[in-house]
This record gives sequence, structure tokens and C-alpha cells, in this order.
Amino acid sequence: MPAFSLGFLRSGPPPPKVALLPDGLFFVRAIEVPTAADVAAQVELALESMAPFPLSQLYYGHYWVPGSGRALVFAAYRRRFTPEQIEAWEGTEVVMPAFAALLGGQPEPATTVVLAASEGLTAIHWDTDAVPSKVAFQPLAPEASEEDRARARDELLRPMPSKTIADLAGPPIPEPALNDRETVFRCGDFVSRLSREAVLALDMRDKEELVGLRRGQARALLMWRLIVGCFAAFGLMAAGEIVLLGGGLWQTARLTKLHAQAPVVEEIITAHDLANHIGELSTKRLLPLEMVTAIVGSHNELKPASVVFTRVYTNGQLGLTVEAVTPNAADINVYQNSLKALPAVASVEVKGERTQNNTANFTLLVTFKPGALQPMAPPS
Amino acid sequence: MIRSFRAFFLGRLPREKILLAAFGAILVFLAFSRFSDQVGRFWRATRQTGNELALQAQWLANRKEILESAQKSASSFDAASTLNSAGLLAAVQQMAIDAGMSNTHGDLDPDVSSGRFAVHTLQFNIPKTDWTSLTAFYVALRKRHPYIGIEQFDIRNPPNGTLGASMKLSSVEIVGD
Repeated sequence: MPAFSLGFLRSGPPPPKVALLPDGLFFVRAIEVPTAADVAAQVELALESMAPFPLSQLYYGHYWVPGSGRALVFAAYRRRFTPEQIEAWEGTEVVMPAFAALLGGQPEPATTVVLAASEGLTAIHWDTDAVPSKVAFQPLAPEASEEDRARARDELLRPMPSKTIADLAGPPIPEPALNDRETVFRCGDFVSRLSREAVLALDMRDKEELVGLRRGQARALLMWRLIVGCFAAFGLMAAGEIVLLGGGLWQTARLTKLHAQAPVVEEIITAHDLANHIGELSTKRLLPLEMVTAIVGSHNELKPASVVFTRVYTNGQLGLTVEAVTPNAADINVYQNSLKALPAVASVEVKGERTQNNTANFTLLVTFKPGALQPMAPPS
Repeated sequence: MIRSFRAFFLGRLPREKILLAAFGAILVFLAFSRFSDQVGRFWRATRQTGNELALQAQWLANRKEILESAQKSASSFDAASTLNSAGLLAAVQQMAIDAGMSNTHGDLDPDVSSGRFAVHTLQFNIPKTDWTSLTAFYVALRKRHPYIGIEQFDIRNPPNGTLGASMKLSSVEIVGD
């Protein structure tokens, strides 16, 4: 099957619905992560020591890359967001500060990215680690001139020794990803690819609420995969229908051949049956009266006098069935034994023995040995 | 397109997602049921045709031997002495009359023929006879062997009835040369 036929089903997710919040609402710190075990717990411990509020009054998240000894932590006081703002997060897949969307970029060492927004400038500085070493925000008034902006930018960059500086305008835009394991943001030429785990950690919403939200998303993804499976099954069945159609044509051709040959084959089968019949007529003879004579004796000496035959008929070339009656049931066994003793007889079986009005009815099944009977001499 | 559909699906309410997924699964189940039925029927039909064709091929491969065998079997017969269906009935009835029997009755079965050969079968019934006549009739029949063959023989002698017999006889006819 061509690879393109079902390939479209593997398309990654559409751009996620994200809420990117103004960077100025957050304080951001890079903290040391001595061990890779339970980074989230280490982040919460660091936040508790740094923040003036308890964790339950903060929205927070972090960015960490496996193998890095550093995590970038951000947090905001919950009361800085109005209920209307929080309500607007309903239905979004991730809520985080705007700068966090760019953390998945992989710039050269000593690179600083300056993200411009209406409320100010944010500088993200990478040293040699994949996790930025510093994030700083410089607020700007809406009416700030270009000179003010340039001054603010210089102030931002002064403590960040950079080999490369990238100025980005506008908020990062989510883009379709190749698969479900990553989320992609683009801002100008700068592309940030965040792993699924990173996005989960960046989402700043209440962690308990997030557990339920993630479960719902996982269920939705499962159902989507079921739908995709249905599409794939329909595709396969459609392909199967085409194969069946081709098979039907092939089968029709075979049936035509079968029907065309049938009269010829019928003729051969008839010829075969006739040849057998003719062969049997000339070589095998049914000798019914010789069979009867063999079981009664030429002078009736074998059959007990009490046994009377009511019907005798042949079964094939060597079988004889005798229906008989006798007032003396004991004679049946005697007669059976004397028949068994005959050299021409292969087997004797008594069946259907029943007694009524002192008369025993029974059936003898006698089978003769092949070639044991000879045609009797014609009466002189 | 699939991305748009995915976005549409993921944007539905949970119960709508469940309904859509269940609807899709039911449709697939019904389609698969119909498809598997079609495949089964096709598979059985092709197997049966294959078997019949293989059987036909065997018969066709043995055609020459079978026809030769029939020819060889018939060579033991004198064509002039073979009986057609009318001849078979007439000959058997004459034998019965000669043996002193009356009220006999014969029914001819449909002929079976192939090429130069034909087999005629006669169901012959003797409602009333005696042992001497039956023996004489049997000896007369035997003398016509192999032109008349006995395929089945049935003698009835009910306790308070009369001796009777019925039989199935056959003859081979060789038609011309």
C-alpha cells in the first residue's frame, strides 16, 4: 500500500490554545538543581525560600531540561490576576508568561533574545546551558519613544555579556507541531520547541487543578486516537473492498472455466462409472441363491427346523440380510454359531431380536468372504 | 484537513467527544462486520471453486486412461449379444414365463450412456411364485451373464403369505462400432 494513503492520519496536533501573560507580572530566577530527582519539589522548595508569599498564593512554573544543573523558576502573586482574566484561561491548554514560550529555542552559547511587547522589553540570556541563566524585564510606558526603548534595551543587556543578540517583536505564535510530544512557538525566525514535559511544568495554573485538566486532555487524546483508528480501519476496509472487487473478477473467470469444462468432465465421470459397471458385470457376480444355499445347507441341514426365513435380500456383492422368526429363541444362537463356523462366511451378526407371542423375530447380517461362493450347478 | 478535524474534535465538549468516538467505533464495527462477511463468502467461494477445478483437472488428466479402460471392459462383450432396454425387459419377461411365472412386472430406470456404451437398469417384481420356478428363473438369468447382471435380489416369504421376489437387473449395450 502506498505510504501516502494513511500518512495524513499521522499529522500532529493543531496549534495549541495558549494564554501568554505579560512578563512584567512575574519574578523570574534561575536556581541550581543539584539532582535530577523530583525537580518540581526542588523548585517549590526554592520558591518557598525566595517568595514573600506562600506557594498557595502564587501561580508558578519552571523550565528545566534533563541533564541541566539549573532550572528557571517564575512566579506571580495570584491576586494580580482578576477573576475575568482567570476565567479567560478556561479551555486553554497552557497558561504561562510570554517569554516562557521562547525557552525551547536552542541558541548558540552567550546569546540574548530581546522580546518586545507593548508593556516592556524582556531579555532572555543563555550562557552555555540549555536553560537560560537570566531573564529580566524592563517596563516601558505606552507612549515611550524609540530612544526610550533603545535606552531600556541597553540597560537590559548590560549585565548580560552576549556574543549574539536577537531582537524579536510581537508575542510568540503557537504553530502546528509534528507530533503530540512537542509544542512549537515561532517569533520571527526564532523557533522554540518545547517538550510535552516542559510545557506541563511551564503551565502556571493551580497544580491540583492541572492534574484534572491533564487527565481530561489525556482522555480527549485517547478518544482522538480512537477516531483516527476508525479512519484507518475505514481506509483499510476500502482498500480491502478494491481487492475483493479484483478477486471477484478473478473468481468470475474461474467459474466461467469451471462451467465450460463441466460437460466434458461429466462425460468422463459417466465413462468412468460405466467402465466400473461393465467391469463389475463381467468380473463380479451377485450370487443370491448361492448365498441362501450356503446358509441353509444343500439339504437344509444347517438351519434349525424352528427357524423360518420371512425375507432375504442382498447387501452389495457379499452381504446377505435375513429376516427370520423362530418359536425357540435358543436356536438363534445355535444357528449363528453354526454359520460362523462356515468357511465361506466372514461374519454373522444378529440384530433386532425381539419376542412376541412366544415367537422371536430377528435379523441376521451375513457377510461372505470374497470369492468363497461359486455359482451353483444348474439343475439337471 | 486532519489537523482541522482534530482541532474541531478536541474543541468539542467531553460528552460530544465521547458520542463522536462511540459513533465512529459503532460505524467501524458495522462496516467490519459487513466486510468480514464479504471476505468470508469470497474465501469460501474461491476455495470451493479451487477444489472443483482441481477435481476437474484430475478427471481431465485421466481422461485417456478412463476411456481406454471403458473400451477394454467392453471388449469382453459381444456387441451383438448386448441388450437395449426393450430387449432387457423382453428377455427377462420371457425367462419368467419360461419358468412358469405369471403377473410379473418390470420397470425400466433411466438409461446411463456415454459414447458407445449404455447401461439399462430394470426393476423386476415377481409377486407370487414358488421355489422351483424361482430357481429356474434364476438359473436362466445366470446363463445370460454377463449380458444381464443381478445388482440386487430380494425374496419375501411372509409366514402366512406367498413367496415373492423382486430384483434389480442391468444390461450393457454396445451401440454400433
